[in-house]
Amino acid sequence: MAYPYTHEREIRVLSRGFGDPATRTLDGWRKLGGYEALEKALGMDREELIEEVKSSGLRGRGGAGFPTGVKWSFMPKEPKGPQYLLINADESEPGAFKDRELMRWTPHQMIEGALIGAYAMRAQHVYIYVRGEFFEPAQIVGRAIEEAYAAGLAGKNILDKGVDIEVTLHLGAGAYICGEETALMNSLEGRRGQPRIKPPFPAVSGAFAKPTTINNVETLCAIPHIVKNGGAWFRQWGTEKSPGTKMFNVSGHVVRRGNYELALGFPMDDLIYDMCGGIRDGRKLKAVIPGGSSVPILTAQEIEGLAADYESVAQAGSMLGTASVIVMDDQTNMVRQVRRMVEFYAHESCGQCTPCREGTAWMAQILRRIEAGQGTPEDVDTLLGVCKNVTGTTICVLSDSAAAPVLSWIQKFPEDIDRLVGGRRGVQIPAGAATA
Amino acid sequence: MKNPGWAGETGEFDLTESEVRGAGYVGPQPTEGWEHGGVNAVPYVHADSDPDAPLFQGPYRKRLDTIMSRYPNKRAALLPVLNLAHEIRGYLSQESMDAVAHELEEAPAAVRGVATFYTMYNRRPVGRHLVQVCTNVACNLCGGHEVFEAFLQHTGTEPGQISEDGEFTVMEVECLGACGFPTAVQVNGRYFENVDVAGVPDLLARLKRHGVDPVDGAAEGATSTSTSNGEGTKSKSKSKSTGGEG
Repeated sequence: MAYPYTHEREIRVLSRGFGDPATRTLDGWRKLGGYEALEKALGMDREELIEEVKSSGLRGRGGAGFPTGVKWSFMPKEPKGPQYLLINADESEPGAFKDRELMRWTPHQMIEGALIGAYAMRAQHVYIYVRGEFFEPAQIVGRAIEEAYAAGLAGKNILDKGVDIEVTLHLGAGAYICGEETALMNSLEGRRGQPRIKPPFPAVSGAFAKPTTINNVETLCAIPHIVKNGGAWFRQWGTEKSPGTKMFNVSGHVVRRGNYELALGFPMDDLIYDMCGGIRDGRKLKAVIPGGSSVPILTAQEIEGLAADYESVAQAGSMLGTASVIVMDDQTNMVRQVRRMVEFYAHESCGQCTPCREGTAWMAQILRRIEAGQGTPEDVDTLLGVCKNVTGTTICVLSDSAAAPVLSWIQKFPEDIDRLVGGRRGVQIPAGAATA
Repeated sequence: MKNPGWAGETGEFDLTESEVRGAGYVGPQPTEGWEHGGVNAVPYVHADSDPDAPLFQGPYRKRLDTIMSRYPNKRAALLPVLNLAHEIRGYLSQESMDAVAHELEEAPAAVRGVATFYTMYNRRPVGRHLVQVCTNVACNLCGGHEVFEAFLQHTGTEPGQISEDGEFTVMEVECLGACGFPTAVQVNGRYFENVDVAGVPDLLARLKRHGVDPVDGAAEGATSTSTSNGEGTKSKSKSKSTGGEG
């Protein structure tokens, strides 16, 4: 529940306050040098500030990995009306549990980063969109916002520098799709969380049809450190294209699950076997989902020698995503887990695009049949056909995400398919494999 | 001891449940006195909400006005105002939704269309404790489904039903974003983590006795020490092993 484990190979920049209740408070955050970066930023030229973030090479931590400084530079330099910065704190990707920790241990870190971003992008209002289930982190963030206002760090005339930035907490009400940036904007506007067609892109017409930028919690948490220490400082960790540190959230069948802050490019083997203590009960590794349930599954073999950065994981045929590493041991009933993931996407489909609304439900239905031992080789063909037809045919990538685990499972674990639908109907799953 | 209470006995940090939850920092539930964009927006889940309570009166009217002042138009306040109605009555009836539509000057159908899109709005009353068990992949790998079934068994309910004593409603939910601490269970406004099948009866007993607020250092069977402001107390007395996996 807390921040249960640390490791000497971690580089705790964003997570240095984890496990210390004092860092939640404004006083505690200030003792760590908090809000010095804001003060520095407000004295800087906006373009210079954006250049500094660009030079750090920081990439968005919400999954896509788009360079943050570049994103910021898309915002109009001569505003014709209100502009907005939205914080995506709708952390709902199965496997991801980093933003919740960042918010409940270091809320001021996120607020400081957001204020700097809002200043750089000429946004007058920051909305923090927190998923509705996060009552506890939201209360902590809410309290921190009030503290910031009381200390003159938010609201009118921040730090007597003549800058006005409002900060408002906004809670969702249970919908995975609201983590998609245009769905989040619709939800913020009081609508169903349905993604919008792009263009127009948010920097042109986003929330309330005004120029808007959406950043992930972890992205903004890195900003104060980059502003204070410089872009080059951030580049001392990680690789050329994936600089800096990143939260790795490890779940599943390892001994020590939890969040570990690592330099990007860290060996995946070491993360699993050294930091997390290896596979529980002395079992063997079967599969790893490296970036949350929306990315293709990798086999134990594909993990060997893999560096955990955006490029290397992409080269291995998957995505680093949110660096939410789900580990499965050799006793895992894969069809059960794949079925569960697909049921999730079927449940969370917003329903506006037919391929996704129908396709995810069909996939779940076929997988349930296969899991029950009623599947046929034709079912596998149908499944592959549905995967093809839901990929790239919809407004957002929810259905692509549903297809990723299915496709990779069928391709990489042919022994499962042989065992489950191997030529004859009604084949039973061996009893031992039925428990995950 | 490490991470006492309902985080299980895992981890290397020596913290009280209140410290982990930030209960002392958050303080008692603030219903008044906040003018900015922070705590006003956070809904609460009360075990004893009154399904017939009047909507948006007294401090709630002030909260509603503060919420409205934070958005460029009234429509944008829809989710926060629905959250408020949900907090007051514990669920969203047709009448509550219509009242929200009236406040925001929106068509009732528009409000219902939005409210029914989001899964956290209960559309009928639930037990005093709404137990929502994550069975998505990360929890499921570690027994989430079995924990869900154990809750059903020990409360004697079907999913979504209210138990005979009115205490519990058990539901299966999608990923709660606490994947490192399986099985994650949300009860009203709080998470209980590292819950395993064996820990289910203890958790239900605690909820019945103390509710969801931190119970720092309270041994099982002791009188209630439930407090919403326990961060100052550093009691580290060993509580009976609970939902932890050890």
